[in-house]
Amino acid sequence: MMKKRIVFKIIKKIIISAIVLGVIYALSSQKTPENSLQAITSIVEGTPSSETLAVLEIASEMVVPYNYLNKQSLSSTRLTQLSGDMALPSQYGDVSITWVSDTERMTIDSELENFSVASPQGSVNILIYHARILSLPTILQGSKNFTLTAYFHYNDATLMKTYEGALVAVMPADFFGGVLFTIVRYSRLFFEGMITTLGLSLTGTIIGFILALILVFLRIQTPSFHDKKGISVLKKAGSSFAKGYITLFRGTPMIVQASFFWYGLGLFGNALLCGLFVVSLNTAAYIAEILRGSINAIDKGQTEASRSLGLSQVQTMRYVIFPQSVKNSMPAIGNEFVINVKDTAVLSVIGIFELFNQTTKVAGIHYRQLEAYLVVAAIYLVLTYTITKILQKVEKRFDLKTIDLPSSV
Amino acid sequence: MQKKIIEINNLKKSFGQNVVLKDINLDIYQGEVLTIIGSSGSGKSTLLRCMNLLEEPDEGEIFFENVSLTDSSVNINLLRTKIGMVFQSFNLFNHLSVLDNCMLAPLKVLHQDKKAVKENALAMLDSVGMKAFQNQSPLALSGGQKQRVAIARALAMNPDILLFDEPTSALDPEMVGEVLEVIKSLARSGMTMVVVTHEMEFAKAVSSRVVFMDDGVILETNTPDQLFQNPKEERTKQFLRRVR
Ligand SMILES: Nc1ncnc2c1ncn2[C@@H]1O[C@H](COP(=O)(O)OP(=O)(O)O)[C@@H](O)[C@H]1O
Ligand SMILES: [Mg+2]
Repeated sequence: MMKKRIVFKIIKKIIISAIVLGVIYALSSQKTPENSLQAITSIVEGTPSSETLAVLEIASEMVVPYNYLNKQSLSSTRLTQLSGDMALPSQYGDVSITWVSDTERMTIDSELENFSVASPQGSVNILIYHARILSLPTILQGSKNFTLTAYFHYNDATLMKTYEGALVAVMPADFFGGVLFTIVRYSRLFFEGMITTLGLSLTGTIIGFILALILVFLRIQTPSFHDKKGISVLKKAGSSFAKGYITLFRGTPMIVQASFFWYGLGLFGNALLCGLFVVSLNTAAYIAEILRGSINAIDKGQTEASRSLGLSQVQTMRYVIFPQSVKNSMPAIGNEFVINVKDTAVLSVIGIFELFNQTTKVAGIHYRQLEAYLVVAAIYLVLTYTITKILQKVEKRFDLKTIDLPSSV
Repeated sequence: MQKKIIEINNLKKSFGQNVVLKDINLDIYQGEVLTIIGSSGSGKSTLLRCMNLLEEPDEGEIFFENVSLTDSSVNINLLRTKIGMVFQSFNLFNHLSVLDNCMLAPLKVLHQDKKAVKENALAMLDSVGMKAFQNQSPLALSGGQKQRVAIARALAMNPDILLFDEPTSALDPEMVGEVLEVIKSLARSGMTMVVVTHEMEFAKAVSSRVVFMDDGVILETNTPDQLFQNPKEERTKQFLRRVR
């Protein structure tokens, strides 16, 4: 028995640490994605009157850099994915504006240029400084951070506003270049998404498995002739609850469950934790049915032998039926894990940055869906294939062990 | 008179419309080996399974050492520890080693000390000639070996009576002997036993009494000599002619 014990202890430890890690991970506030650079600071120089200050502040709020080519205004977030020239407004009402950037990869023209932007009143001509990009980082360099500072002058007072941005490599126009670019440029996003996806599905499967043990225990309760009234009522209630739970969770899409618990109930106030909750509850329902099937498949003689030795119904479950049915269910439970790796993609609906959501983000940055979704499909495929292979190996080992038990007390 | 281990009064049992046991009366005394014979479907297994309440009687009473089994306040799990049962299909726990099969119930039900449990389990395995297989999985054993382990598992609880339900019926012919030998040696050691069997030679050799069951009733009870040589009932004669 020694080896088996140790293996069990190790498995127990792994399961417990996986759960703890999963919960900690979920609790640790959602990691803001890498473009969290858009800090804005305002410092005043001079001693403006309150009216002057108000004018400056309005100007600093209203004025934004524009994308030189498509004339779209660049919010501070959009500055973090910059790979083209900018148009920097020089005037807002009576406020004049000057711009300074801290990178050699960009120069700002000193002459003014005419620039027309769309506005509710129709297209408007404004005077801008043309910020020219001299060089972009290579694909391998990824991105280069820079700051762009705007000085707002009015009545001898100056207000300073600093944008933090990043210059990024341009996505090659061709397909293969695009794929390569997507992989290299966003490997960190994909990796983070992958970790979230794996963490969610593994922890969700483990918690789901534990819940499933309880569920299936309730589910298979049948009142027997020995039971007192109270007990048999309890058994019926437990069984009905489990039945209802399983029907409910297997009968509704996980995307609906996730939306219900997150948008409907705002559970946990943390999307990742809420997602973990949903995956666990969902998996529990499926694994409970797997376990029930394998419990039913176990020969009635096992129960009879156990009861004839004096083990109670609960002891029979715990020491005879569950160990065998769990072992027989292992392949199906492993499969449930693989399914979770894929199905957690729907949790992007509640804003969890798992693999699929990260991909959507990547696709949105460059409007290059084909490359992004192709890359993520490959990642999912590699993940599920690898996990399946590992599980098969584990199963084989596990089976070998049971044929020749290395047992000693 | 010897001590009564089991007393059955007016036992009735049906499965739906099918009346399987019709008014059974039977006493089993300490140290005796009672064999039950009869054609298939006559209710032998059901009667045996009523003795440890694997089947719940519809009517009548069953006493085990003067305690009523059918009394709802009785702790059936505790009583079952004293009533061992060996099944036709062995029913070994396949996820446990041979030794652990014999240790599970003493540890979890009787809460005995682990060292003592192991010692006792090994002694029981030794008595059925299976000690060498203690660390094996039941899956690796032959039918005869499995049944011997099942007997050791029942013995490990130190029961007052052993119930055998056709212990050799699922065995290949060449393995029947080894199991019957074990049961015979148990009989010699004075173990109280009820054996449902189709092995007439064995019944003759080992029984103190033989019960012939037919269609849910005990038609005839007698010593093996009397019952096999001088059956009183026509049905018994027919049955014996058929099995010979
Ligand atoms: N659990 C059960 N449910 C329904 N009918 C049963 C059950 N067990 C036994 N029977 C029926 O009871 C009768 C007697 O069965 P059994 O006691 O097994 O006979 P024997 O052991 O003498 O062959 C048979 O007709 C059998 O079909
Ligand atoms: Mg039978």
